[in-house]
Amino acid sequence: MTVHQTTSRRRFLTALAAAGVATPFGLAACSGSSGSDSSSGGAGPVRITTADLPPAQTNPAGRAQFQADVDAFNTANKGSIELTAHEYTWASDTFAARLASGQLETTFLVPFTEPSKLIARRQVADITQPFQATADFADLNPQLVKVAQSDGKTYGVPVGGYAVGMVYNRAVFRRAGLDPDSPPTTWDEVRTQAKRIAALGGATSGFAMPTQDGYGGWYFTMMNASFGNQLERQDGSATTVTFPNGPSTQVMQLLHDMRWTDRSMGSKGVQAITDVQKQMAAGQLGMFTAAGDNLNAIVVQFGGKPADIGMGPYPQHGSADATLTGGSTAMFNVRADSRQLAAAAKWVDFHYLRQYSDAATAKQQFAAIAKDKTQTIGYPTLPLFTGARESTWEAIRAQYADLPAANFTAFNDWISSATLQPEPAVEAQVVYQALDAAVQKILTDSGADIGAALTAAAGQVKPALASAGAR
Amino acid sequence: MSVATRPVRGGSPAVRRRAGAVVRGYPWLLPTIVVFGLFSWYPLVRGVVLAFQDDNLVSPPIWVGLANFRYVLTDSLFRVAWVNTVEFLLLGLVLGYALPVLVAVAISEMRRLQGFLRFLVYVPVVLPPVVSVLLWKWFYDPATGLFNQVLSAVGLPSSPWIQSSSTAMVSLVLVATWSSFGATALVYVAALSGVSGRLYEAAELDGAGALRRLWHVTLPQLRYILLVMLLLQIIGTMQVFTEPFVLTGGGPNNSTTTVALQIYDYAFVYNDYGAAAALSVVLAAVLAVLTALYLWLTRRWAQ
Repeated sequence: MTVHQTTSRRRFLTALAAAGVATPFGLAACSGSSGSDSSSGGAGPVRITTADLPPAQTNPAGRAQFQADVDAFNTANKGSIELTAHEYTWASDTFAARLASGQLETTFLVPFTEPSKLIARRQVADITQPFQATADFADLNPQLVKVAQSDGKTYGVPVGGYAVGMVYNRAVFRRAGLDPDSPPTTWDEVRTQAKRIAALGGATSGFAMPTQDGYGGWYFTMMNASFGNQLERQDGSATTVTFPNGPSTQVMQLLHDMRWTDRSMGSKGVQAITDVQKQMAAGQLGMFTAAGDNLNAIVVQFGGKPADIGMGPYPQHGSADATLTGGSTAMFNVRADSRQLAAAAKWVDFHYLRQYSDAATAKQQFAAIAKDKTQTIGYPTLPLFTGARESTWEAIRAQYADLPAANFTAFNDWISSATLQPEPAVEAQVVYQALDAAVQKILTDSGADIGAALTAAAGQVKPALASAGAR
Repeated sequence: MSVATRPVRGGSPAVRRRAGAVVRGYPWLLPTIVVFGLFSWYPLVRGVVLAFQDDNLVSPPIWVGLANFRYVLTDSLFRVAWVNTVEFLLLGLVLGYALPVLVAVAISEMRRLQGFLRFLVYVPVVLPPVVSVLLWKWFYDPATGLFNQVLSAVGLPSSPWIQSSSTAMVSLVLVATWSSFGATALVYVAALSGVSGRLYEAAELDGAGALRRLWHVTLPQLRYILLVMLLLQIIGTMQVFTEPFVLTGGGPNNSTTTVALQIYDYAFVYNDYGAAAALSVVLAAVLAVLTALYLWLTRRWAQ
């Protein structure tokens, strides 16, 4: 918010969009229109719209590629489907207006942090039927599919997924006398290495954590997962928070000690994800935890050197071996009828997933991205599919990669065995916002009472959990 | 309609002409009425209705009585947001209310460069609010920002600025003051130009110095406009949003979460439009009281 969510997680989505989200097509921004286009009418062709057409100004190559796919889809479905693409990227503060006015596209991408909220508010369509009817969807990675599932129903199709690991600057590691091929695997090691890096002096920090727009809460949730702790607990039909408890207090204490005892976290306790990405790109930061798509932002938006940026496992404390996922899922307009939903699902399969079953398409799309200066290829992703088609796709991607794969070996070796923990199931954004404040308190006030900060956050979350779906 | 029809029954040609003019005037008002109706009055009414509903903007809304109000009034951030908003308001008055008056007086006293100074003072107002706030974000950066570099250059300790609960709100008020004082100062400059020079001459003849002239001539002459600007500043600062939204997101630890930011969070972070509308109604009620006060005072002076 945010995860104001700036928007709740608006920046996250922007980063995902900028990254091209596991689909070699770029994503997009800005307005669009025409809810009336979404009416399927009677027996004529079904009219649908899709968001995420890349903007001409910032991503002309991606736009041309996207539009070519729209044209190819319309040609292949001539007489039965008419698809129009709009330059709109989902954002929490524009979504409501588009939905209310009937201008929301038939299908649109949202970040993984959003589906549970949209499903709970009944603002997205149930696509269980077209999902089950599409053969390609059956092989999707179930861990990514479940992000948009609830009560046995499916509401989205994942088109890209990432796991969170430790992004680090290899050049900074070398300057601090650390081995860039051995990123930390435990929080104890993170603490030790962050101290070494901070000792370089100047404006260099060892470790950083974004704390605005819900990121503080999201990252805190992740740290808790690595300490074996989930922040929400089902108590019969009710949901309650588990914090403050032992692990959440330990996590907060670790942050407190790194910030105030070791002084390895710089001097900012309130900062956005983009602030942290900038520091990483500028070689002023040793480490921060992030999903693989962050590498795109670091390199493309902020000019980081690809050779300097590495990614290792998410650090652990104990035996949890857990991390959270990030990514993007296609969701569908709740006002769309069954014909439109079927047509939109067909488009999602054609546009986002065709490359996984058709090598020629994958090559063509990677070749287009390789020419596009706004995207990189080769940052670590989670397997979108189970089975051989994923490995075939990854082999093709490796041929076009412009980020050095060797820099991510430690992450890739680890991720296949890690546990991907889901986000808090109920009112996740409220949890993140409340914990933003708690984390900020600890990182801006050396004398802060950890128990009191967590208790205050819990107090803020409980009414929302109690009234979820009740008002 | 009663205004239009009553005089017609009165009968005299002059009255009929006047009545005809009134009737003919209404069509000219129509565009304004339509625009206000669509973009101000309808959303206003809809907002109040929404405060009593659970609405996901798709399904038919469900009437929930006062549940949304109960929810926002018992939210632990309700009190925090109001305290912060009032703190912003008071700090804005302390830091920003007198400044435009002093700047305006200083500019009025200048023999040369008046136009240039007016331009200089007004420049921050021309900048889009988000641009000026982002500029200040760089000023406030604790490690590389302009302010701490200047402080360390002159041997003073650095400040955490927006990175500490104790200084964040003051930092936001500085940004808001810098961004807006130019416009207010120009209003005062204009008002000062209407103060008769004879009053100053008389005061000077009576031996009044600059400060006494300010106190006994300038301020009394500006008293109405001072009060109007005070009320406008109070109404404006109670809706503060851009500075905390862009600079701090309400942090650290909710120390800059304002009522308007809380409304935004309800609506666009949690998609809880009913709660957002309920808090908006509460804010609107408070602002309505202040606006009524403003109208009452301005009408009283006009008489």
